[in-house]
Amino acid sequence: MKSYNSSIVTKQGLKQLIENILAHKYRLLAPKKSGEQLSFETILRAEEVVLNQLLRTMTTLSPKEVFFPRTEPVLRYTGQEMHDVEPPTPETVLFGIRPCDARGLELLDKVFTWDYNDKFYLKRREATTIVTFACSDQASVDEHCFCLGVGGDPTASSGSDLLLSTNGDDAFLLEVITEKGERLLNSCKEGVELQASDKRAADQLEAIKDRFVRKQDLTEVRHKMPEYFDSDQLVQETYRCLGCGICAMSCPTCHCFDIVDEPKAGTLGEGARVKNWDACSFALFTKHAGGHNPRELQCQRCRQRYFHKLAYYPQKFSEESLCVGCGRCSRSCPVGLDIYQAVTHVLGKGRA
Amino acid sequence: MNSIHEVREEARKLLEEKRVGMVIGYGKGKGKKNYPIFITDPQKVEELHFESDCFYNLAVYLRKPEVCSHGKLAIVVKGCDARSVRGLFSENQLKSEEVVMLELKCDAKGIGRDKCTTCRVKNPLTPEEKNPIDGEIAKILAMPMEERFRFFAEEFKRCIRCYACRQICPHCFCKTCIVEKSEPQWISSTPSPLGNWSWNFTRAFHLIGRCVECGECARACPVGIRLDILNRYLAKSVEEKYQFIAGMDEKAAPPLTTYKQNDNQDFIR
Ligand code: SF4
Ligand code: SF4
Ligand code: SF4
Ligand code: SF4
Repeated sequence: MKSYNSSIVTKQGLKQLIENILAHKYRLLAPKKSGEQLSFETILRAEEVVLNQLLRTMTTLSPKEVFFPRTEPVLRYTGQEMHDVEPPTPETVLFGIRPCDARGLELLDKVFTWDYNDKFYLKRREATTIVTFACSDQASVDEHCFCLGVGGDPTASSGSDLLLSTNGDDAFLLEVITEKGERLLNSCKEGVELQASDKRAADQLEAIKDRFVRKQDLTEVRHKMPEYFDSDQLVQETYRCLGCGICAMSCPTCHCFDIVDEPKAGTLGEGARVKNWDACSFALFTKHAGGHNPRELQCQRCRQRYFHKLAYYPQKFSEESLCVGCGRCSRSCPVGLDIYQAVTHVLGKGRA
Repeated sequence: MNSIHEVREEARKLLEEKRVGMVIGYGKGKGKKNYPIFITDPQKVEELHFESDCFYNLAVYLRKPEVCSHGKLAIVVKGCDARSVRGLFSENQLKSEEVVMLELKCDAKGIGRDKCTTCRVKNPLTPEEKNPIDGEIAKILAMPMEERFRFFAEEFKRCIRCYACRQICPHCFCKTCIVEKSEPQWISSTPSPLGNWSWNFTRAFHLIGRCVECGECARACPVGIRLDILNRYLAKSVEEKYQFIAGMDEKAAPPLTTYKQNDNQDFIR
């Protein structure tokens, strides 16, 4: 009897699987090259899936956009009448996200079902099967990654329906994690040679751990953070923040949005109410109608983001922090700010 | 100044003699990259560094309220950043007696996405005629209008409205940016094709003759939008039509912010 539901699949087999997914009319989303970067886009031909590259480079923006788009209408209006909007939810396969991203979605689930069930997010979640790539390649982990420090794991399966990992040169290990994943595999496995195996991605964890530069554990910092709310050191660490929203917008778990009405050009009284990404890094985020801004300085806005991630969310929802350690915010920050460095530094545990 | 040692020495004197309240410069993380630092204690001037990855244009910090609250400021500048500071003087955003420039020679070998390879002020006061981006601009100008439209539509489609381009720009100093005005709403804040088109072009237009081509916006843009092409094209037009290069003369206001009876007008139709 095999102990795990996993099998070995060759590179060719994986390509066949992707072709079958497309042939079965799933909408396939995977990291695609856009200039020098990778971004999640609709895949029309199997060759567009850049396997080698997606193992090595993380997408600039996270896959949250698949469920929580940068903009979407939530209702439409014509004169006095309002019309409900249903989000388009084609059956989707989201391929090639990382274990931190998959975990990020589980954290977002808690937010979008907390006081209100956000149908836009939830319906998309329901219609999507997630095929994650474990960070098992030599080059998957870079100097910004710190999932291990926030309770994550580069080989973890939580949040994924199927989990892929590398297995030698030209083969992969494919693990079935959920029933949803099993359904996808069953419907798309014709012509894909699967050789049963008793290995798991997690077997490689110890070897991968060595590749992390950022090793400090941040899972307990929520207890210490409140003491540092007014610390001068935190002000100094974040003084250079410019208040752009890159960190929040590229983060897999930042989820603030703004609601605005967008009148339709050339009409009178017709339009849509849309939900757009917003960020606590923006001065406008907390600015009151009368002009007063309770977060007057940029370092206060930066602090809010760090505290929400590492103290408020864990207090409110679970013991887990809202940061999954993907490192996107520090990779893209134009002035090299970095939540891991700032927090470890301020809490006096040294610096990576 | 030729070396960081001279800069440190000058910074120490300025702080000790209380001629400035803060020095803005580059510092080093442990064995890591350089980033902006802010020094108020003369004992700490040794933290100032200068290497090839000091591509940040620190002039952006000159307008931050927490920085301004320190009174007079000293700032480490390269040729490109000095243009920004002079630009701010020329637009009355700063008084020259309030800012001390600690100018450093730069070999323009930074790694900030093209910004150094296209630098024209390696020799700070005699800008080079040509800019390598000009070739790319010529290609775009040679495109039929629809194709040109598609080129920019493809670029702007990616914009997520993080406003990093604005936040990092020393010359985007408006207290309330036009995109934040809601009565009326001049520009849609939605990252839709229309909203992005209005945002990216309006920002470029507002910087005509004021942009010093420091390249920071294009470097910061997380989705790699070619803001450098837009900015360079507009700067080049101003140079041709008004013989004006932004940030060269701290007394000369940008042509589009002033009016003279004999202004060149024959291109307005
Ligand atoms: S931390 Fe960096 S990315 Fe985030 S708002 Fe500040 S400058 Fe922008
Ligand atoms: S805060 Fe930064 S490291 Fe943490 S999940 Fe968000 S983008 Fe990733
Ligand atoms: S290149 Fe960009 S950041 Fe620099 S001055 Fe011009 S618009 Fe501003
Ligand atoms: S930095 Fe780039 S993505 Fe952000 S608002 Fe500017 S153009 Fe858009």
